Amino acid sequence: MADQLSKGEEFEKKAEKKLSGWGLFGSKYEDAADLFDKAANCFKLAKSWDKAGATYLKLASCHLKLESKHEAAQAHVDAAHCYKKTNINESVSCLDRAVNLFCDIGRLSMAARYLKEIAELYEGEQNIEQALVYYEKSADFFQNEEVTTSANQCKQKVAQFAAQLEQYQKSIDIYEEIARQSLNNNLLKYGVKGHLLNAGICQLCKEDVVAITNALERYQELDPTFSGTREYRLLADIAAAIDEEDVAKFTDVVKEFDSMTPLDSWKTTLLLRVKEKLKAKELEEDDLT
Amino acid sequence: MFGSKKSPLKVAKPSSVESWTNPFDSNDEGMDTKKYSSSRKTSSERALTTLGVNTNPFDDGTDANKKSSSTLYGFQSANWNKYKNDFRDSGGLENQSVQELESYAVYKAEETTNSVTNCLKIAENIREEATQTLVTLHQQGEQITRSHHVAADIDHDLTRGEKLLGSLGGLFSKTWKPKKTRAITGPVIVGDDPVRRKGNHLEQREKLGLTSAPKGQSKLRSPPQEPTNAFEKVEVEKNKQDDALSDLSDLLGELKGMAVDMGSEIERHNKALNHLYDDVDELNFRVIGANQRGRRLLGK
Repeated sequence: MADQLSKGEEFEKKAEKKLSGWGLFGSKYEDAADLFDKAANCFKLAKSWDKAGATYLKLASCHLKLESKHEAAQAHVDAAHCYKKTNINESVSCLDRAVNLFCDIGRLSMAARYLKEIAELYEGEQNIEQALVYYEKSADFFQNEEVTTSANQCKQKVAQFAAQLEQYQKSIDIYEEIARQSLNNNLLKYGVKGHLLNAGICQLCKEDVVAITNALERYQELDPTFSGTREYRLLADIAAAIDEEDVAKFTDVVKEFDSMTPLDSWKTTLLLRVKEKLKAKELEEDDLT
Repeated sequence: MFGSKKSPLKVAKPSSVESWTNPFDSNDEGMDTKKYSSSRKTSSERALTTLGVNTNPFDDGTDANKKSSSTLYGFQSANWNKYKNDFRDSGGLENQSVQELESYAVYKAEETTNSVTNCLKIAENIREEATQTLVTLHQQGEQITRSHHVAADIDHDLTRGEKLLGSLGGLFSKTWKPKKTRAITGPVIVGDDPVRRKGNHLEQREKLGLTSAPKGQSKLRSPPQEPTNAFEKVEVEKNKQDDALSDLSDLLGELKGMAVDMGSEIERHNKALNHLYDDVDELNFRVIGANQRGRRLLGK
């Protein structure tokens, strides 16, 4: 470890020396870049992540001087991967710069990939607002490049976070759009009822019984087989429970569905919100009487 | 020659309790009574253990006092143990009272309902996994197509490079023509079989009356009144089993459709990969030729 660290520092010093000296036709930047690359590798082997990240950033600036933006962007990505181990914010800013460089040279699919990576970093840090922003950007880029599956994956993340942040309409629109797209595809059509269930749960969170009923009718028109599914029954029964302001019925309906298909944490969170609102209503009714 | 061989049933003389076999079992099952009873035991035990567990976040604890369906029917665990080993310890089925046999019938009906429900759960899980697999397959198909597009782009760039390499060289050097064995085709998108595609279109199927009419509330959530005698209880269980089996049948039909779609998609991928391989092989051949030309020019 210590051996690699001293090696890395040696390479770095040599590189700095090259940069401060004179060079013919920018060859000093090429030589320095080569040495910075070696130094960064040594720091990585020594598990000195901060130093490795800083060295990759120096390497990136050398590549920019040589006007090779692709290599500069890749160096920023390498720096980000080093900083990921120690400093998430620094990692994000490196990836952001890499994305800008990839956009400059028209490598939009690469830009999309790293925007998604930024979103994942924010998601890991539980920063849902920022994760949503970057997943949205990533989806947009993937859509432009016609990478529809990846675009849909990012859109689903956006919908998931939007619902968590109580932006239910945004979430509903996304899930319905994905369901509509999926219907036309032989492979994706089987996931339609899952998307419609998610959209339906978001509708329930809005607590507008008329809107829920209309949505269910619309989903039936969209997919004629939906009305025969357990997902449809769940949504219809919950809507009825909300209409009747019956918490016990709500609980029974959800329990029955969960006994067959365990609800994931996202659905559980949203349905608990619905239940809390329903309980509050019931208490209000009791207070009035 | 075969005289020395004895029937496997007569080799060991079992005790009176063990020799009893269920009159409703088929003959060949009778041979393996022991083997089956152990597995049956575990499944019913599993059903028993799940009855009291409450992990649902939506439970208020309000129905903690409610009795489970089995206790509604007045079963004690002692009785359950008796039923589990098919009355072997108490003289077999023949020596039981009508009431005992009725309770036993209800117990068996419940056990069957639990088994069918478990099958349905497993099928649901398989369906979810299969849905994910199909999404992944779709993504893979897209990636193959994109890779092929990139190969076609490389072909364009390589053609320009070859022209440049051809124009280089001395005044008297003979002109260089790149060797090409075949043209680069680019992605050949093998679409779905149009007939099958149209047939799968939901609206058209509905107009034709092909889609099964949406089922109403299939589950008997709250029966009109609590069943009183054993016959009614068994009937309720049978209805539950019918509903579960109907759902299971639909699910298995859907799983079959998924398997067919997976198969046809993988077939498409294979064809697409074959085309991609041919194109990449051709590109490789041309890159080698271009490199040789470059080396020759540098050698001069």
